[in-house]
Amino acid sequence: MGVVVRLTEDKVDLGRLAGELASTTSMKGAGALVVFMGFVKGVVGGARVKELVYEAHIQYALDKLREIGINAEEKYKLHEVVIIHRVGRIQPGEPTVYILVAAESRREAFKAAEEILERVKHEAPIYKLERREDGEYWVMGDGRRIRRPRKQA
Amino acid sequence: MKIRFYGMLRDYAGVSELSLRLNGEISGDELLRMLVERLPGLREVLDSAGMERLGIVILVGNKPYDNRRLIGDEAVVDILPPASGG
Repeated sequence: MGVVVRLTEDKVDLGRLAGELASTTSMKGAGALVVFMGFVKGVVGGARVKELVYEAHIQYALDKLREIGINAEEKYKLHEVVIIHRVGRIQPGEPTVYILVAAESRREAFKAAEEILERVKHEAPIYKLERREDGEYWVMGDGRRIRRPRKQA
Repeated sequence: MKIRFYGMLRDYAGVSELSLRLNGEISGDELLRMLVERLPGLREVLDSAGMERLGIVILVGNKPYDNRRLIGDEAVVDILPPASGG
């Protein structure tokens, strides 16, 4: 059993990662792997999205992601949890977050993956600026958008 | 004391970080009052009601601030807006 967390500017080879997880956890009794990948919307509220810019408080974000993963692992008796969040500039259609959960059965895996994602969105100190054709908006965890002030640091 | 702002709070503050020279230790509430006085743009989001409403987090030395403790002059303080990952 284990929890892996990472913040990265790079895309992940999801097929390879999922294959490795299935392979390593199958011999320990796992039979279900839920894979979630979030990606950048190309249109929001009718406006074209140019890109998202993610930033994070790196140390605290890694601590928080690890805590979220460990909590889920213990609660759902998971075999493996992987949480990878991208930072930096990301274009529409590109992945932003990957969550992989290996468990003995699908029920635990689905529940855990959803819970992990919700906690990542609301608890991990990761911040999202949405650059759209109609302006720039800070996106809140609940989806609210706050237009960026004109004057910036 | 070094104070760093993240995400949208950096926009409201108008600076990414700030150094303060203190005479002794202060509480988190005192620090916030001081910040709002120096950086009026923060007033909109950093008063006590705003913090609670928006879910702003304060870290001292990379750990969540415990409001029973005082913050020393050498501390690195991070002011974090509500999370918005995913």
